[in-house]
Amino acid sequence: MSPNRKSTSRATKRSARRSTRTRHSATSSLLRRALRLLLFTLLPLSLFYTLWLDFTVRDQFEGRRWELPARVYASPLELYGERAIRPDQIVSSLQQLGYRSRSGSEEEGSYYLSNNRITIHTRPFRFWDGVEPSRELKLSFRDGKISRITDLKSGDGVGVVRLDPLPIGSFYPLHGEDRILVQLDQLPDVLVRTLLTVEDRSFYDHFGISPLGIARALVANLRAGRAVQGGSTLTQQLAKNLFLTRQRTLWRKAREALITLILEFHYQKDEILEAYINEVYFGQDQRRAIHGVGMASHFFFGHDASQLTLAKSALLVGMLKGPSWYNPRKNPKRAMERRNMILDLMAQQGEISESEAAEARRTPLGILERPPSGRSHSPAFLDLVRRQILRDYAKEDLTSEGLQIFTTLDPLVQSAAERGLQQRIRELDRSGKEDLQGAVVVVRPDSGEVEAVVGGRDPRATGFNRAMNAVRQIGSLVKPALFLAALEQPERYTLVTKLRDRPFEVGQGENRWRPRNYDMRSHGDVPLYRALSHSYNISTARLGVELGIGRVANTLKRLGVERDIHRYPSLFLGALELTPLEVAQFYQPIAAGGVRSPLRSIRAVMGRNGEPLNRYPLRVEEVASSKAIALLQWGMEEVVRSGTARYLNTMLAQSIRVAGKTGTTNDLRDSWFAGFSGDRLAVVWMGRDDNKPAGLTGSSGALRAWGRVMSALPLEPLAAIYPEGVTKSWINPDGLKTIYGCSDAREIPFIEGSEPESTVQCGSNG
Amino acid sequence: MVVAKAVHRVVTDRVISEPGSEPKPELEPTDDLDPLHDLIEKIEYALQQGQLEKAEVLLERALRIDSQRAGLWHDLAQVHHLQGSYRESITLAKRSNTLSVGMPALQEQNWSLIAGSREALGDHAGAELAWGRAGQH
Repeated sequence: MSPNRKSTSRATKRSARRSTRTRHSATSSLLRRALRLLLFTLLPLSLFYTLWLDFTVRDQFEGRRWELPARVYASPLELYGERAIRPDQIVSSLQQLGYRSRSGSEEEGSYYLSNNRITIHTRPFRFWDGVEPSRELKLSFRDGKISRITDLKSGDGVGVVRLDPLPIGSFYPLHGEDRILVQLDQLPDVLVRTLLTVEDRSFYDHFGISPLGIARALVANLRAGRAVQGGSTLTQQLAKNLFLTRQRTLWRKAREALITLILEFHYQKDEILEAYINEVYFGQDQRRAIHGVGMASHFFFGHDASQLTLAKSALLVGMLKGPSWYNPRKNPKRAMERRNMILDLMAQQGEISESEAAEARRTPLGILERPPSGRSHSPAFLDLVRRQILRDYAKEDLTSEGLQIFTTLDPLVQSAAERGLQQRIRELDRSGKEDLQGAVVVVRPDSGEVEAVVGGRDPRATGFNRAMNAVRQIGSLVKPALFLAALEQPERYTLVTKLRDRPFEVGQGENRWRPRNYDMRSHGDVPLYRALSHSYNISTARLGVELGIGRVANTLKRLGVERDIHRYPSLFLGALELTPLEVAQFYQPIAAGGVRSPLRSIRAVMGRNGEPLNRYPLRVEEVASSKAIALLQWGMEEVVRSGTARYLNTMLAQSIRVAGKTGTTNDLRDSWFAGFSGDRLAVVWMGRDDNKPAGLTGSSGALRAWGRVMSALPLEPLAAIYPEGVTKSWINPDGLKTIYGCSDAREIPFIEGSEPESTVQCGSNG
Repeated sequence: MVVAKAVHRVVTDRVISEPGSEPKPELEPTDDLDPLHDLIEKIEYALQQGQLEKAEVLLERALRIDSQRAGLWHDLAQVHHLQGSYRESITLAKRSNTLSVGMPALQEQNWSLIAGSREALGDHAGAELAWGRAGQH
């Protein structure tokens, strides 16, 4: 190699070294710069992230921690002396509530039936108007009624007792989590001790993360060769459940640790423990996720968490390891083994004595065979509740605010309504009628409270709710409005005013209208009450024409029809489309002496902490003359006594005076009956969803379902007292007033001053 | 006037139907115990204390148990009067009247209440008529 080349080469090496040195120094300076950048950007970033996490965690933990579904309750069963109710009806109500049959039990939520007596240990319940305490009661019965209620502790007689109300449904948030919040001090000590013994022994000593716990878990897992024990503290589990996904990444682990420390830094141990107890997952009930000890206790045992025993606490705590694997309904043996293992552990740790553990091990699992369903038993009624509550609350409030909604649904009436409709539809199915559907609405006329809603032949189906959404022609159900409009003019009309039931026409050409009677005959001159009781179309249409369509429409509006009313003469015979619920509103003032009360399904709403929020009190408005209504009611009683609804006399006791009206529409598409006793109004519709002829009249379809519903309920007869200003006269078949008690005459009410003036002798035809 | 008279009325129809008689001593608990006895005591107390909403809630509950009791409807009418719902008060007092056949004292109180509510609504002629009816009993 030439010196030149050597020198060149050396120079090159020098230059290379220099350049390497330069590169090195450039790299290290880059590194230094990068480190600096990292230090100056990442540190603030991570600090910022920690602060943001801190804010988020605190915000969620202190704010609305959980979205709580609104819980809807039925009207509570009120028990009192003289109430007409059978022991078996009370037992069935108690069973629906999850009360257990047990003799001599000290346990709340238990009952015992023997020798026509029921002893009940009731559960306490907070209603919107006060707390109903737990009591031990004895109920005695006589002649189908409660004869006496005795407080077993004091031996005193008791006036009125209300049981805890039946939950009839919930409005769930989209994620489907269901929980009942509990406070730590409401829980039995044994539950908390069991939980801590199994899940986190040093909970009150660590700062959120327990190195000892991790080490213990590591050893256990190494020994077993697989993961058998978790090292997570309760706080870590809560952090994971509340704020994180189920992913198993390092990043998630870091976040979990950070959130754990934040929780421990800001909150007391008891607050963390309470949150954990309300958060933990206990399994799935179809689309509903059971969270928290409060809900789990109801779901598995049918009682409050405050009543959890040692054995039940061990069962629940045991489930946390694998809610599905240790599900006591699906895998009772496995759940029992796990429970007993936990009881052994409790004894080993000195938390309970050996004898306590042994006794608890002997206890059966004690779970309810059938869980209280998250699905509503009365979806049609729940629809009505939703519609009414959305007038005052936003949709989100229903699924997140934990509202407690107290409704007017009476479970005994609801089940009678469902059964009555189903039985009649089955009979008609067997006689070859196809695709029949139906709906029932039952109302208390004097308060407007809705006691039952059935939306179809399958009352559990959540689809089309016919009671609220089937808008159908009402046919002759419209007629009471016409007769009321007439009877409100006593100077022109009384119940015995003769109406002409002879063919006539209204209008010309295409608008020509010629009403016909259902039997295609005309009946000559008939007294007004018979036109109503026999549902004669021609005489009613004539009356409508005399009254004028405006007056009839106005009467319908006054009674509560809110839909547009088309002012054609065909209105007189029922060319008006309403839902069964709207018919119930229209008939409510007729059944309530002319006083309208808007139908309501909700009595009150309470917040998640038991604070009363809204009350829906009774509203009354006089919309019709009570005197004219009394006459109309008499005419509608006549419908049952001798008119189109006389079949009811074979279904109801004679002593129960009821009134009503049948309705049938063209080609037998709709079958209606709306009727009332002194204390209940029920509307039944039957027909087909496709509006094809169902082949039923009001009498052959809906009326008989109505009879079944009402005959299953205790009823007050219609009042025999007439309002002031209504008098009764004896009237013979010619419509003449006779002396008292003629065999061919009958007593008919009149508005004072409108009765016939002169009196004829018995047997006289004037 | 109406109010003062009505507030101290004993709610039970049993007492109302026997005007002038001394209030009965509290009954021993027997099978004939009026199931509404305790509720009615609470209603009276709430009315005396001026707790109208509480009285209203209790009255509605009592009426669900026995809707034929004229005295309860009267008390509810009275609550509505005190709350300023005069039209409702009139309607409820009329309902009470329909059920209070043979109870002249209660009918008188109902007519007084109707008169007071009509007065408050500015219906002086109607009020006069009602006062007249109250005097008849």
